[in-house]
Formats: sequence, structure tokens, C-alpha cells
Amino acid sequence: MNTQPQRELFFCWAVIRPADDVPGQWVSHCLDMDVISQGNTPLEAVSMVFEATAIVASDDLMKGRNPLDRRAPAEDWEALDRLQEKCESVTNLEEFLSRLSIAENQHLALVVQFKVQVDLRTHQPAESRRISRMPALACQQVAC
Amino acid sequence: MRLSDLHRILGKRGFTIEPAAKHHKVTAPDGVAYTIPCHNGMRTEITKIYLKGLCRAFGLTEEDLRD
Repeated sequence: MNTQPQRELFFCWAVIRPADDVPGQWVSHCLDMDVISQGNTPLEAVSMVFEATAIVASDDLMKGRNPLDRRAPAEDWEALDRLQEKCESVTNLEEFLSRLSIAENQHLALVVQFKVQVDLRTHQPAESRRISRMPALACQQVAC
Repeated sequence: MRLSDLHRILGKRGFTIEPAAKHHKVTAPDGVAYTIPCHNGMRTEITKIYLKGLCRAFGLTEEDLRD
């Protein structure tokens, strides 16, 4: 009987902030694998970093690499710790964002924990989504 | 910098680029891969924070990404 695991599962943290240099862009950063993406809205940036992380994790595993070896620099993890201290819990991220004005949006930072699953037989992403039990965290002070 | 500029620069350095959903997957000559966001097509404006992450992934400097 084949007892080898068929899927590899990763739990990751991501920080989403407005870009300093490109108006209207949101930057999303998965710290566990140091993968950065972007989106036109906070929600798109979240889904983009899910996708990017899954692609990188699948490719690394296919080539015998550990995607967690990519880990972001220590200063990014320290910034995450500081953000978490100042953030409030948000159970419904989409609904929360829809209530914010454009001006409020520009000072927002989000912290999201999510999981990435890679199918080890096909080396394709099996699933990548936010952890429902772990709500998103939102903070109105980008500079924290 | 736009996505099209980044493609040109990475292509000159021997990286291969292929579409992968809303991203492009870039692979270095040594096999290490990373993603580039292309949610706005080839006109996607690439942020400085993203470029720093790309440099870390491939061991490049920001100077290496100058045309």
C-alpha cells in the first residue's frame, strides 16, 4: 500500500498594503516563501499572492526544493509582528473593504493567514485559500 | 517599470518566461522560479517592493534590472 502523502500543505502569512510608488496598486507579500505580487484592489492582491505562492511552491517541490527556504528577511517578520499588535480582527474581509472609503483604503494594511496545498503527483496547486477560522486582520496605519 | 520592460531585461539575462494564470512564471538559468504579476497585461506597472523581492529570489541587484 502506498503511504506516501499525496499533498503538501503549507500555512503562510501575507501582508497587503498600498504601493508607495504606483498609484492604485496593492502589494501582497507572502512572508513564509518571500513571494510578492500585486493587484488593483486589496482583494485582488490577496488572490494574486495566493496564486503566486501556489505556483512557486509547486515549482520548488517539483525540483526537490523546499519553498520555505525562501523565507522573507527578518525585518519583514518584525514588521508583521508590529502590524498584528495594532490590527483589528475582520471576519468578512470583502464586506469590511466595501465599507471603507477610498481615502481610508489608502491607509490600510491587511494581514492574512492562508494555506497552500500542492498535489505531489502532478506538482500542481491543489488549493490555496484563506483560513476561515483565522480571520483577516486590518490596520489603518500603514507606517506601523 | 512595466511588465514588458521587465520581460526584455530578464530575457537578455537568459531567464525563460511562461504564462501561469494571472502571473508569468520566470525561471533562471539555474532552475529557480518566481512569478511576475500580469493582472493588467503587458502594461502592468511593476512596483519597487515587487522588484526587491524578485532580486532576492534570483540573487540579483537592482542595478542588474537597469536596461
